[in-house]
Amino acid sequence: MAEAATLPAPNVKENIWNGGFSPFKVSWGKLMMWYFLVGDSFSFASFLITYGALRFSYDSWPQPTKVFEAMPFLEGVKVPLGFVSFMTFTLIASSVTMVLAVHYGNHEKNRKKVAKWMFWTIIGGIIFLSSQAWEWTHLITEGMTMSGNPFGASAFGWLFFTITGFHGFHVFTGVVINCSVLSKVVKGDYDRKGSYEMIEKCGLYWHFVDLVWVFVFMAFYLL
Amino acid sequence: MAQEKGHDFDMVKEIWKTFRILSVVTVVEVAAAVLLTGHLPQMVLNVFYILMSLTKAFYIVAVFMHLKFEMKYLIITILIPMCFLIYALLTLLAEGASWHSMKVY
Repeated sequence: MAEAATLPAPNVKENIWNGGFSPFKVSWGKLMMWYFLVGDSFSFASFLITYGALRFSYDSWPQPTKVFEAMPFLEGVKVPLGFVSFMTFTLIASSVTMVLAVHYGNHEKNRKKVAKWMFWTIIGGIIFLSSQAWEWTHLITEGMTMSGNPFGASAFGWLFFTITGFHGFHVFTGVVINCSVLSKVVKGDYDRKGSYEMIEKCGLYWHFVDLVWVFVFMAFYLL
Repeated sequence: MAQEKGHDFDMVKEIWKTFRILSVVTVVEVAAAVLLTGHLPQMVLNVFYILMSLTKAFYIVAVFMHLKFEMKYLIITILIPMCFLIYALLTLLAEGASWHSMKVY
């Protein structure tokens, strides 16, 4: 596609869609990753819109600064939204390391730098998942279940577990994909192929996970 | 993807700039939630959270996902379907309010 994209379009208005030329100037794989993410954003939006509709149907809703105030290793210390800020920061930082890996892959084809930044991305993902496991454990010991919770509206518990669970599953999938791609980077598969575009496709997925967290964070921890 | 070196350095700078913006916005959001809840009308805070989240989403999609450097028509095919989500959100929030008025729960 890279070659086809650089061909001059003889008569742009008539022939851009006739084949032999990429109208969007992206490869097939990258385009399909984008469209997959458009679809996936609809699944997450359905969850979050359901959350909104159910929340509107209750008289009152649990106050996030009261529900999320526990910190690991600090028994009895109350830091409202402290731990989730750390989780958010981890995910943003891992997005930065991922985009650096994409950048050094696409522009320098620098295997060592790509491997280094992908490694830190995976570490960030693992820290995020561990934090989420701790948060879930804490809320379960406080008595939050799929059917009820001590904080208020009964739907709060199952909405929290299904939505952050679905997001966490995406993070987990992203970590698995990143691990397999990192092993291919280290083996030099993309040097032989001459293109690091696979890193970019994984990067799109990973940033999408970060993007979804922006809205999950807003819905559960802020609004 | 053949860009000259000068552009490369700018891109790395832009990545770190975006990182700073996202971090600062998150800190401001959390600070507002912790310090201002109860002191300001909740509606004001909610509008603020939504605007800040949309700002973060813009920077993630535009810079990290590289969308602002893609072809205009690609951007359009990705963003236009999101209009359905705004429609679904407004309809179902109205629906939720109506469940509340019927006292289903």
